[in-house]
Amino acid sequence: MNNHFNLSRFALLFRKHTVEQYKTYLMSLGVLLGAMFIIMGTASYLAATPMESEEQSIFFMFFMIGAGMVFSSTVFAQLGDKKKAIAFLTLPASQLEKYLVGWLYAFPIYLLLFIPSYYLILTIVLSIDPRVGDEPEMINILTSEPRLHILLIFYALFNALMLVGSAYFNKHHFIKTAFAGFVGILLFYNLNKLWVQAMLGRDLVTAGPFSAAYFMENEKRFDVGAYEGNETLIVLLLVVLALISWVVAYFKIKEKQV
Amino acid sequence: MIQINNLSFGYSRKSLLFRNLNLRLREGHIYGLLGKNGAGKSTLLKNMAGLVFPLEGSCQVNGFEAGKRYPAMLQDLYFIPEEIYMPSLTARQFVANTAPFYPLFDEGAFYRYLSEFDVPQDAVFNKMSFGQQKKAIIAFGLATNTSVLIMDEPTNGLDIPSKVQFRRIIASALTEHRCIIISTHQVRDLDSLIDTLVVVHDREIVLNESLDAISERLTFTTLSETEAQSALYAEDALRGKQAILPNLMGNYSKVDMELLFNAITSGNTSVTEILQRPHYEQSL
Repeated sequence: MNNHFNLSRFALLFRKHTVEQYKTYLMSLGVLLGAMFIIMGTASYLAATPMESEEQSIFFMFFMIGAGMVFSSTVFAQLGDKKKAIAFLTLPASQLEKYLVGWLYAFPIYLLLFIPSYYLILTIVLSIDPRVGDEPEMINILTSEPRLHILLIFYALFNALMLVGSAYFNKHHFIKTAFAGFVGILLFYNLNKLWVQAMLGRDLVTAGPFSAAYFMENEKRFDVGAYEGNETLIVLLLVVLALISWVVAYFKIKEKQV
Repeated sequence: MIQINNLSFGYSRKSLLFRNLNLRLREGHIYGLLGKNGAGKSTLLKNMAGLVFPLEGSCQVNGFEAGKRYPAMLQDLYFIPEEIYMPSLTARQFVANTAPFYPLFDEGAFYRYLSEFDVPQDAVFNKMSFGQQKKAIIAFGLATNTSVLIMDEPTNGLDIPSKVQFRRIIASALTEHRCIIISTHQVRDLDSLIDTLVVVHDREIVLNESLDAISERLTFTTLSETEAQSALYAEDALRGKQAILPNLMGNYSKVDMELLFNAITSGNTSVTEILQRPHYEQSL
C-alpha cells in the first residue's frame, strides 16, 4: 500500500469532502454572487458613466483575491475544532491527499467557479444599466491589465498564506492570518529600510523591498535603485514564496496534534 | 498490536503527563482503561491513534509508528473520541462516503448494530440527540472491523438501556484478531465486559492485568468492621465493609473494579505490590 498517495483513495476523499461540504460551498458562492452584485451594481448606479474596463478589472482583482483569501482561510479551519480535527486526522487517507483536496478546492476549483461568476454578475450589471448600448465594453481577463498570470501569482501567494493560517490557527483564521501578514509586511519593510540605510550610510525617506531608495538632499528628492529585471525577480520571488507557503501548509497539517 | 516503549509525553517538556511509559496491548482482549480525571487516559488513547506525538519513546500500532498516521495504520484502527463530530448526512450517506476507507467494513453488521441500538437509519446524524449520535458512531466503529478499536468514554451520554446494549454488542463484536480499548471513569459501565484492566495513575501504568489474574491473587468480599482490619483495603458499605484480601486459598471471587480502582488510586501500595509480584511467589 502506498502510504503517501493513491489515486483511488484520493478520489474517495475528494468525493467525501464534496458530499459533506457542497451545501456550505454553494451557500458561500451565493453570498459571493450577492456581494458582487450589490457592490458592483451600487458602484455602477452611483457612477457618472457606465462601468469601464479599468473599473471592471479592479473589481475582478479585488473580488478574486479578497473572496479567495476568505475562502482559503476556511479550507483547513476544521483543524481548529477538536471534534472535526479528530475525524479529519484519523480518516484513513494520507496527509498529502487530505492537503491536496483542500488545495484543489481553494485554488483551481475556486478560480474555475469565480471567473464565470464574475462575468455573470458583470453581464447582469451592464445589462440593467440603461446607459450601456447593445455591445457593452467588457474586460477580457486574458488581455487586460494587470496581466492574468500576475494576478494568478498574487492569488497563489495569498491563497498559500491563508492555507498556512487556516492550518495553524485554531480560531478566527482569516483575521489572525491577515494580521500576521500585515505585521510581517511591516517588519519586512522596516528591516529592509534599516539594511539599505546601513548600506548607504544615510537616512532614507522610503526604501521598499526590491525597489528604489528615496532620500532628500537640499530639498531635492533623489532615488537610487536598479530597475531593470526587477519585475521578473519580484515575480519569481512571489512564486517561490507561494510554493514555500504551500509546503509549509502541508507540513502544518502533517504535524497537527489535537 | 499496540506497543508503547519508554513513552514520555506532555503538552510541554516541563510538565510531563507520562514518563517512560511501557505498555503492550494484544489482540483478542477488551481492555478497560481506568484513571482519575486528568490522569491522562484520553491523552494515552490519542497517542495510540496518532493524534499527539510522544516527546520520547515510541507508540506503534500493528508495527506502524502511530504519529505518522499512515493510511495502512488508520484503515485498521478506529478511534471514537469522547466528543464526536457527525456530519449532516444520513447513515446510508455516511456509509457510502466513509466506509470505503475501511476495507473490512461490514455494511450488514452496521445496520444490525443501528437497529439493536434503536438508531433510525434515515435520520440525519447531526440532527439526532448526542446519545443517538454516539450509538451511531459506535455502530460504525464496530462495523469497520478494524483490528484496533479505541473508545474514549463511550458510555457518556448513553441511557441505561443503551449501556446494557452497548455491553452486549461490544462483547459480541470481539474476535481473536481484535483489540478493543475502552476508557472510562464510570467503572460500572465496564462490568462483565472487559477482560483486562489497565490503570493509569501518577503518570504511570500501575496495573495491566487480566481480571482472571487479579482474581487469582485477590479476593473481593464483604466483611464485618472487625474482620476488615486485616484487609489490604476496605471501604464502608451498607452491610459492613467491602474489602480486598490476598487470595491465599485460590478461591474465585468477582473482581470489584471500582473497589480495586479506589484502592490503587488512594495510594494503597499493598494491593499493587501483590498484583505486581511474580507468579512463583504467590504459591509460597
